[in-house]
Amino acid sequence: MQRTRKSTKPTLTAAYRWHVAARGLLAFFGGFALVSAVGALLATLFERSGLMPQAQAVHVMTLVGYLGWCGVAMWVFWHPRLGRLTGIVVGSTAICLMTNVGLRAL
Amino acid sequence: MTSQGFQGAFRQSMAWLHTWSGLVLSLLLYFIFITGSFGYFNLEVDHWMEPERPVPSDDRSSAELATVAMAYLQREYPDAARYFVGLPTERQTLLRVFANLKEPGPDGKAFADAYLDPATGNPVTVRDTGGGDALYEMHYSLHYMPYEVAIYVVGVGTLFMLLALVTGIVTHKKIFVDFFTLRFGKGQRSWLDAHNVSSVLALPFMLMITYSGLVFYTFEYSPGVLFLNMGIDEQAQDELYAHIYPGFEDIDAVGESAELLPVANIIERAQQQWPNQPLRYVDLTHPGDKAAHYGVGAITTDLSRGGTPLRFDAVTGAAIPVAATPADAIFSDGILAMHEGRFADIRLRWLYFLSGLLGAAMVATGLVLWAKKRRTQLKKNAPVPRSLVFIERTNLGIIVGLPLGVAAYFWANRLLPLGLENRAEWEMHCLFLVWAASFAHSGARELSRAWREQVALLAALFALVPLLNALTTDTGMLNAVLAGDWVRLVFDLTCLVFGICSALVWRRLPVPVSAPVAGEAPVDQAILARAAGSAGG
Repeated sequence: MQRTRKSTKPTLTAAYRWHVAARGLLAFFGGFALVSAVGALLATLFERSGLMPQAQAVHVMTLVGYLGWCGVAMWVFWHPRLGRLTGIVVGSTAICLMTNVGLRAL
Repeated sequence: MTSQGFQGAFRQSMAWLHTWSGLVLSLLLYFIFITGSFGYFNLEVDHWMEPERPVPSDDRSSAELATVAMAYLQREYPDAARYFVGLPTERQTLLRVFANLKEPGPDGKAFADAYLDPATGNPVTVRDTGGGDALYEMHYSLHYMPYEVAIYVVGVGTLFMLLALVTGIVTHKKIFVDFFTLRFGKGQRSWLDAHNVSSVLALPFMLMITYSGLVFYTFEYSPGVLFLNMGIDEQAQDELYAHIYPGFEDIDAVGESAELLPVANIIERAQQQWPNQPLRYVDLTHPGDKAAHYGVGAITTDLSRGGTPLRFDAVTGAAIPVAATPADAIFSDGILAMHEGRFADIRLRWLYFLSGLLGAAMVATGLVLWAKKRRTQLKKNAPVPRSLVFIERTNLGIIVGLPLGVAAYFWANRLLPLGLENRAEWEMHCLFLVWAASFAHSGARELSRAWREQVALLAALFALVPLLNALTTDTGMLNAVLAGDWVRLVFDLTCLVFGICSALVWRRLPVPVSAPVAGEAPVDQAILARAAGSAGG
């Protein structure tokens, strides 16, 4: 990140702008991917444990997902390291997706 | 929690996010708040914009009215797939009839609709106007944009709004104190106070209206969970919607003709089940077919969009059982009902309307505050960045230009020739043309002059609406009082009050400096400083 922390008047370099754009994309699309993957996994768990029928579990997790997205977006714009952040978002999404696929195949 | 976040400490990072998530789509959010607020009075605006509508005086029963309306539909559209009759209510005083056609008519539409006078049963011919519905529908369909694109643009704006609200709450250290703090004449501080008060005062409304806005398009905006667990084919969607909206499942026609029970009989059965609820509509699907069925809905005063309808077999009159609504569907239905305020009485409707305007005020004060803050951060005699000048000028076009456009929309309704082709569309063109002219004027004139001129025009346009109405129709204020037409009277009075409020704002705007000394930028800076102070107190 090109924006210097010691400076009181930050320099808005092109690199800084790209960095902000990358966080924006990660917050928006990464947030939706993560929330969808976690939501799908939880919906499968609710359904398979007999807590609620499939349609209800999908509906509930989608409704909750908007709030989850908001939380993820805030986290993305707070976490200091973009690289680690991207790894966590992509990794968590992949783990949830694979677990969900595995559970649904059982 | 570590203090070394993206923009410093957590609170600083959230303040940064609050600023930018609110600012980036502020024009869209302001537009949504202003036009969406008219949704709470869409039928009342319809009534004013269609002065040909009679003042209701009929007290016939729902069964009589439904019989008249169904007879009209069967006579005019004998080959329809469905008839719908909207019964008169406190807000909608005419009979609304609607037919889904099996084949598109000569105009290419697969439906036909009309309003009937409840007293005579005859169609009411009104001017071609978009009315209140066209205003309010813009807050999610954005008018000139294809609907499928517009809802996603609005969806992104709504997500930004949700983010701005939550980060705004997180950023606040003293949310309760801010509720009671409005310091006048303190420049930038006054704008911050105004922003805080308008936000905090209507905060529950803002949170509700934003989240529920997303719920309207739950699976369009966020199809991920549905796609991953059920797929997105038609079968999955049918299953899902049957779960969320029980009582609306399709019943197919069988192709055999049959004698149907009269609608009055069905109304009687519905009233036995709902003795204390006025009926809102009755519809008939597959008229003339053996599988024909009636649906009846009532006006609801609880937290729902109208509740599950009663359904009756149109041949036997037997009630068609409807599955119980599951808890999650009750929740989403309640959330949507809160957004639309369908259950609201007139007092709550006004509260909704004013809360919507407070939302617009929140966006407007945020815009001014942002520009004001950048101005005060400039070093003395430093060149003013073009981006800041651009924002300051577009702020005027956004904040005053859109209300000017709305005023022009009402004026166009009265002044455009009644025989004009695509008249309703031209009313809307007038709104956007005036709005565009406001942006052009903001860019062309010296800024403080532009503010004064546009606010003066706004005051004049709204304050003169009652006079315009009296001169161009026979529904002016005096006639409205004599006829007991309170809706049109209150519309005129509301415009008058809005015009007077705008005139009061105009009086507080700073008088332009006539002789610029060192170019436009320093003059603008001085003017803005005075404007902030003056508007604050």
